[in-house]
Amino acid sequence: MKERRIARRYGLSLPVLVGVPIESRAVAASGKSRDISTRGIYFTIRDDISTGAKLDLTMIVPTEVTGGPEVFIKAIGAVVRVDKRMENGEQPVGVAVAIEMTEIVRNE
Amino acid sequence: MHCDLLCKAFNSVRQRFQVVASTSSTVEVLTALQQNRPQVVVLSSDLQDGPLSGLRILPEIRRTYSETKILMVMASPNKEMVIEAFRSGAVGVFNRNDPFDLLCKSIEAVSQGQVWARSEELHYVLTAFVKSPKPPKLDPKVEGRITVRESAVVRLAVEGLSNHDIGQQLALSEHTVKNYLFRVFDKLGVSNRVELLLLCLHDQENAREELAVKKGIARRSVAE
Repeated sequence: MKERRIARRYGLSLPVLVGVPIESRAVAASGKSRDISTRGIYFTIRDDISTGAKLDLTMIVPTEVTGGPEVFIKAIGAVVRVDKRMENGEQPVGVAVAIEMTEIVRNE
Repeated sequence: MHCDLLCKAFNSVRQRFQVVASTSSTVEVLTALQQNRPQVVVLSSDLQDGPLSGLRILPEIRRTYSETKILMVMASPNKEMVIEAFRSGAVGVFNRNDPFDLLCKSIEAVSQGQVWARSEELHYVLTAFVKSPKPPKLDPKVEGRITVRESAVVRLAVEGLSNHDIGQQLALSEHTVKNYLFRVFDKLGVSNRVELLLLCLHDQENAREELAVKKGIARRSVAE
């Protein structure tokens, strides 16, 4: 199969806050990233998310890693794939998001 | 008024100092600095332009005239102002209400490379220093590939500081910061500062895992 990725992926497990705008009201949920690139992110989450949904994502970089103030990676993107949930329905679901915009934000 | 009086007082001790300029607004201070490049600037925290205007131009003076020692004169040196003055590049703080002879001593001290502050004021600075966060721990793999100056820029960039703010902290122009970042991107093969942060995080995680493996091996060897 041809490699289609254009940005390097980094296997990073960071807490992810997921904002899902539903009928103009933002609903927040939290998940955990599995890998991140500047063009996409794959994370797991317990809540249901559908393909095509626009998401506001906030990845939290722990202070012990930066050594300075808490830093967030903010991203906006759209869900391109949702991996099927296991039979018992309690496993977190894997979500792949194509990122449109990212920025680093300091918690000040 | 205060400036003129001070000037006259300095003229009375001409054998100790040479006053090259005496001004009272931020523009005049910067112009005088450019024209005279003095060894020491005795700068009031409050200039004609308003309260703390002297304190505000400290970083610019520090950046442009790094050889010039700055003694900040304050009406009532409180904790925040003292910390800010030292953080912005002053090498001494002086209380306006203290005697003139002490001012002369403080100028001589800073001109000789000493720091001038009361022990209480030094205590403020040391406490702030202890409380300030440690510099981010970049992975040695990343640090090994870039220069010391570049790594300082990287540290602040991955903290989310703008080029302007990085420049302010490291006394560099925005343009120079941009050049450093482009060079770092090129060396590390990343396309922007978000990817730079991801790379730093990734390398750190790998380093931690390697360390854990080494510790595990060492523990097993001891047990055997």
